[in-house]
Amino acid sequence: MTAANRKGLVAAALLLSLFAFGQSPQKARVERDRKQANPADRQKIHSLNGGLPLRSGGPRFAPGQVLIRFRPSATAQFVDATLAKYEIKKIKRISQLNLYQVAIPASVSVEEMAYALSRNPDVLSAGPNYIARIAVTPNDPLFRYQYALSNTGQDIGAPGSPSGKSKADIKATAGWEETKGAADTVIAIIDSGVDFDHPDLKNKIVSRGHDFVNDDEEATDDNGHGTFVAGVAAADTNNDEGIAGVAWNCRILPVKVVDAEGYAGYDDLIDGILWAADNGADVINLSLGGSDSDDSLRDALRYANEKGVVIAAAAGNDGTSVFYPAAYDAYCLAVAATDYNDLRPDWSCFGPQVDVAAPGESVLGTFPTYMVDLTEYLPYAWGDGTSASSPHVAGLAALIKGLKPWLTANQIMDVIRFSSDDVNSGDYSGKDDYIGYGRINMEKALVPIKLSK
Amino acid sequence: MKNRPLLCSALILVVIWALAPMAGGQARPTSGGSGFSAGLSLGYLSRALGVNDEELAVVPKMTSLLASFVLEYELQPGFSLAAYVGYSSTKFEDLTFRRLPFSLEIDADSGNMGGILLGAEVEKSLFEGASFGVDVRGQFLASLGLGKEWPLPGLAAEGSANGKSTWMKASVGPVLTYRGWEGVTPFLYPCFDYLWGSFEFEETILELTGSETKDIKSKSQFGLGLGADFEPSPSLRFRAEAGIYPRSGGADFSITVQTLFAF
Repeated sequence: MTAANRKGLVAAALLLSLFAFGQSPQKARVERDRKQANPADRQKIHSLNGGLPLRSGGPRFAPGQVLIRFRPSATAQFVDATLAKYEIKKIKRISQLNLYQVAIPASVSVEEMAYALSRNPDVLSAGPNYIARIAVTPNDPLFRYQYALSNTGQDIGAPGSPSGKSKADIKATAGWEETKGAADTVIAIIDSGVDFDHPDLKNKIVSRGHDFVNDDEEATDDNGHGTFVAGVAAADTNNDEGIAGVAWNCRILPVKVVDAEGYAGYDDLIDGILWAADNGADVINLSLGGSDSDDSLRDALRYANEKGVVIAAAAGNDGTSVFYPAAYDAYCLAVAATDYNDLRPDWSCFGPQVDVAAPGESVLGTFPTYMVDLTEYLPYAWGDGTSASSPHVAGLAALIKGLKPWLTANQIMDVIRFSSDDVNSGDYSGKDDYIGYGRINMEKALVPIKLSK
Repeated sequence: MKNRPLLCSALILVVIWALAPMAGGQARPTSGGSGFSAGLSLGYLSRALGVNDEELAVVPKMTSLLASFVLEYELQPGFSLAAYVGYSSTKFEDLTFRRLPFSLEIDADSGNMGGILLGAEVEKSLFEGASFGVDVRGQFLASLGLGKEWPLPGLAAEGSANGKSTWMKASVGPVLTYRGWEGVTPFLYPCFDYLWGSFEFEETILELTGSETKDIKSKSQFGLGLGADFEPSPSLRFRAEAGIYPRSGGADFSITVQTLFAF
C-alpha cells in the first residue's frame, strides 16, 4: 500500500486499535530474579515423564489382571481354593476390603474373567484393574503460570502476583486427553506478524506468511502483539521450553496487517482475511477491531466462513459495545474476557453479539526475542485484553477442526458456544451480553459425553 | 434405506416359510392334535462387537434380554416352523460415537434400549435312530429398535441425542438329540451363529444437528448350544438351552428358556 493511500484510508476509515494488554499497555516480562522459570532455575525443573508426553491413548486397565472383592465371610483358604479353580495367581491382597489383585491365565480376557468371577456368589465384585493417570500436562516450564489452561489456584506469576480460583480455566489438560490437534490444521494469526525465530514458535510456523503492511512475503512482527497472540493459540508445547499453546500440534500462518504502532487499515485487514482463507487457513484469529462497521469487512468474513474457516475475534477492551469484525456475529465468534476467578473484567466489551468468553487477564504469551534484552528477560509476556482471550478460542476451534474435519465452520462455532460454562449464571442465567454462552470449556467440547439413563 | 432391517427380516421370514414345504421328513413324535403349539420364550444373549471394522482398544459389548410369544406349527411329523413376536431390551457398553458434533459414549450406565422382536425358526428331523436323532435347525431373530432419547448434560443449551439400534441374528446347524429317556430329550446344537446390525444416533442442540450410524457385528461366528426338551405331558414342552460362542479373547453366551403348549 502506498503512503498516499494509507493516509487517505486513515482519514476516511478507521484505524484498528489493538486490543493488546488491556486498557493500559503493560508488557510485563518474566524477570529472572522473580520467577522460577529463569534460565538457571529452569535447569532444575524436572521434566514430567522423562520429557515425554503423557499419552492418553494407553490401556484403560492393566492387561491380565483382575481385582476381586470377596465377601467378608470368605476365608483365606476358601479364597485360595476359588482362585485355584480359575487358575488365577494372587498378586496382592488389600485386607481391609478383602480385595485381591490377581493375574489371570493368558487364554482368557480380562472382561470374561471378571464376568465369570462376578457370577460367583462369594464374590462381591470383580472387574478390571483400571489405570488412573494424571491429566496430560505439558513439560513447558512456564505452564505453571498459565492459569487459563489449568487453574489450580496457583500464584500465576504476573505483576501483583495474583492467584486465581481453582478450576477457573478452559480445562485444557482434560481436552488434550482427547486430542492435541492435527499438524495439518492451520491457524492464521492476522495481526502484526510473528517472530519467526522464537523458540516456542519457530517449529510451528507454516510459512513466512504475507505482510500487507509492507507488501511482501515476510510477516515479521515489529509490534509484539502478533507474536503474543500466536503463542497463546499454538505455542510449541511439551518442548521443555516456555509456555504451552492451546492447539498443541496445530500450526501457525502469520498474516501481517498491523503496523509497528499497532494500527491496521480495514483494507489490509480485508486483504488479510481473504488471503488467509485462500492460503490454507482452517481457523483465523482476529485479536483486533474497530468501532465502525464496514460491509466489505463483513463480506470478507462471510467469504472465509463459507470456505469453512472458523473465525475467532476479540470483542474489544473499551467496556463498550462489541467492536468489528467481532460484531459480525453470523460469521465469527465474538470473544469476551474472563479472569483467573472466572469473572468478567469491566473493560471487556459487551453486547448481544458476544458468543463466548476466555481468559484475558494476566495471560502469558510469547514475545519477540528481538524486543527484549534476553540477558535480562525471557521472551514471554503477560497481557490483558480480549486479544488474549480470542486465541484461546481459535486454538480450541483448531483442535475441533483437526478432530472432526467434516464439521462446518458454523457447526464448530456452535460446539464452542454450547460447550461453554455459564460462569456468571448467578447474575445472568443462560446466554447474556457479557460472556455470551460462557467461558469456553475444552473438555466439554472435545471429550465424549457419557450418556446416562 | 430407512426400513432396510425390517424388509430384510421380512424377506428371511418369507424364505424360511417358503422353503418349508420342500422338505420331506422323518417322523418325530408329535404332540398336539391341530399341529399348533403356542408359548413363551425368554432369552439372554451377550456378544462382543466389531464396529465399522475399527480397531478399538476396548471391545464394545451388547447384552440383550428377549421375551417373545411363540407360535409353532408342525407341518408334518418331525418338521416344525415357529414364529416369534416379542420385545427385546438391549444394553450396549463402550460404544463411542465420534462423528457427531459432540462425541457421545454409551456405557453400562446408559441404560437399555427397547426393540420389537420378530423371528422365525425351522427345525427338521433328518435322522431318527433308536436313541439318537439328528435334526437341522435354523433360526432368525430381528430386534427392530424403538429408539431412546438421552438429554445431553452440562451443555450451555438444551440438547438431546436419539439412539436407535436394530440388530439381527441368524443361526443354523445340526441338532444332535438323545431320545433314550422318557420325557427328557437332551441335545447339542453346534451352529453357525452371527449377529449384525446398526446403531444410529441423531444429536440436536438448538440448530446444531448431527447423525452417525455404526455398523455392528458379533465377533463370534460359531457356537455350541447345550440343552434339553422336557415333556411332562404330550401337550406341554419346556426347553432350556445355554450356548457358548468362542471368539478371540473370550467367549459370548446365550441362555434360552421356552415353554410350548400344544392344542
